[in-house]
Amino acid sequence: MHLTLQYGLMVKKLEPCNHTKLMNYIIGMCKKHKDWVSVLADLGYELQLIEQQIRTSSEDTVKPDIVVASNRLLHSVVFECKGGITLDVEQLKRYSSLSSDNLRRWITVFTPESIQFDVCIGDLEENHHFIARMNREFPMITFANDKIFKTGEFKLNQLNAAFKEPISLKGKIAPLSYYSFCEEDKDDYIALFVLRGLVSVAIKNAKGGPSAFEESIITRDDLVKLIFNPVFDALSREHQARLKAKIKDVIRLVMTREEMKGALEAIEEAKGYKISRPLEKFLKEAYQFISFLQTQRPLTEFVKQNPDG
Amino acid sequence: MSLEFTLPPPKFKSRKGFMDFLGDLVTETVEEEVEAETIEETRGRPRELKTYIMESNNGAKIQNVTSLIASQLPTDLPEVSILRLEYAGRSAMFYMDAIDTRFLVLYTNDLADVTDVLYNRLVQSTSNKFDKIWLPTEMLDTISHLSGNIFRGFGLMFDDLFIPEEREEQPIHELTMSVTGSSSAEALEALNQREKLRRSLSRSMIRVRRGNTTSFVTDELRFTGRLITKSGASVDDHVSLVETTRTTYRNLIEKVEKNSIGTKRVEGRTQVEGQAFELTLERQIEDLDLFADRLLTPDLPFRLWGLRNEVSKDARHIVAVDLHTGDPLDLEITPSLIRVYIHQESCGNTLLRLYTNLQHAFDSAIRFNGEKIGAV
Repeated sequence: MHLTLQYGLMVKKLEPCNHTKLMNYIIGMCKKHKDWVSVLADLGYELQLIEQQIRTSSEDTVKPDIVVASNRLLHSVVFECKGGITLDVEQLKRYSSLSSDNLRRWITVFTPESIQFDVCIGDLEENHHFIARMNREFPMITFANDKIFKTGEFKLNQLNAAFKEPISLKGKIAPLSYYSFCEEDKDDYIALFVLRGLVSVAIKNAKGGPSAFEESIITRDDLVKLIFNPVFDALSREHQARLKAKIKDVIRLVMTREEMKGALEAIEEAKGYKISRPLEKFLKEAYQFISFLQTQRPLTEFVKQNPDG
Repeated sequence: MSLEFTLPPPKFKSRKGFMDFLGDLVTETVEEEVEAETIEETRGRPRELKTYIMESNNGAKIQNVTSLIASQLPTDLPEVSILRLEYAGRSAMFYMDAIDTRFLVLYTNDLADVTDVLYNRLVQSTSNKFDKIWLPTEMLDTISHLSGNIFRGFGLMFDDLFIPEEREEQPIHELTMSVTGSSSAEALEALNQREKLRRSLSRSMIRVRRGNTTSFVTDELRFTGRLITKSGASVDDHVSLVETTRTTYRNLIEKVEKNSIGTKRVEGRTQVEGQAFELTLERQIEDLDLFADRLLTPDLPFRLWGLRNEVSKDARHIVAVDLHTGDPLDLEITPSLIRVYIHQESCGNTLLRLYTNLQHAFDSAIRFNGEKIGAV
């Protein structure tokens, strides 16, 4: 599918990866949104952690993608999101040794000593057949195009009741911006956020911020969070490092394109006045850049082969 | 009265001294609405007290301004300074009260057509992190009906920026109107009952009278946070309305910023917080791409730049930047809903600018999280 864009440019529709989708779907269920399912929010669940490493009773480590908790139910759900077709069986075993004691160190509820929890696998219908075969122990929440359905049983009855019947997604619009992007996303999708970040930095440069040409915008975690990904510091250390590398790859490639570089320089030099033209220029170049990325191999390979840019 | 720095500037040794000085800027007049109407409607009478409420993310210190000449003098009151602005041969004095460093209040009695130009240049200067405040229609209505305020008029301003150029037939394309006097409430009620007008009744201003028969003021409060005294001389009532407006707006901005998307550290844990805001539209967006194009036109009042992505036939994701602040934000647009994700440490004013300007340019019946904005 193609979309007509400003200045007559065309880019293919940009799809987030399955992991990014699942993360947003589940986080979105903890929010009260008009056009999305609020089943978890209705039970009092709030998002607490993303990718938090937790030591289990058997001295193993688990790293759930999402942990939510409800003060009302004194209950937590520990989500493992599976966007692909594989499931690490050893990983599931490690979840078996996760206890309330292990979990209460990390979540905030009024009476943590009473907290109970369920582990839940989140997946997509297209892969459900494969994932379900490998998981017999934990309940699953599956997202299809038109519905959400449950497989297996939660320990908590209220959750079983809430997901007893498939939940229709007719007319629903999934949120996509709670968890902007992850290392699994394609370069073109990540580029959307990186290019936006560069424009943001260039405009803020006039207000005393760093320049879009400074290394610090990608080396300093606080700046990466502010500029590129608002939940960056909730990600695991390893994920942060890999994500930074991807962002850096995109920026390096942007800086090899004289037109884009020139437009960014012009935005910074204009100090906020008469920036319409360079912004227009950068926009046009940005769409061309994204189109270019869509035709390329993953950028990591490209940059490796062209280390000097 | 207009002071230049060649004269000794006032020192303001006490708040009372400052208030007395502001009182001198208000020209004593007899309350006669008709009389006021005979003078320039939107500019205010010459030498009347005008007040601008300005949002700042930079405190009260004016940084180097490239767009105009600005000099700032301190007074004996630490929160009050005197600001002289000059541009293209025109200058004006502003007396700036920074008792709230996030929402600065600038008083002046120079001519409105000069002070408006200078104030706009100051707000647009990128070296400072200033913005106007953006008062939605329902907030203006709330203020006009607060205890002590008597509703004495309103202005409407609607200009549809989202219709396809080729379309000639349009329910309401443009509507500008000003109604003042004691029957204004009835006039507004009558307009509210006209179905054809209901999505075009965005308020450009309200006129409010405060005080009693002997001491009062009638002020005009614009949706951009400018107040002009139209009649009366009670500076206490004028400043009281300024304070009410400032605190009402501040409370809303704080609620918005509390819901920004980001993380916080709690006892060594990193928690994720925030929620998107939902702007629900009564008027359906017919063409999402046209809507996005207009929203992202830098010259239009939304002041957004962005890259857009087609999520589905009925949804667009805009990865945007607020051109005023440089803050990133995300928009998800469907025909009846706009989700706005404000990032942590971004300015809540971004959302209020978008919402208020959509009221003036797309649908005055737009709702914030399904409610009128006072219910946020």
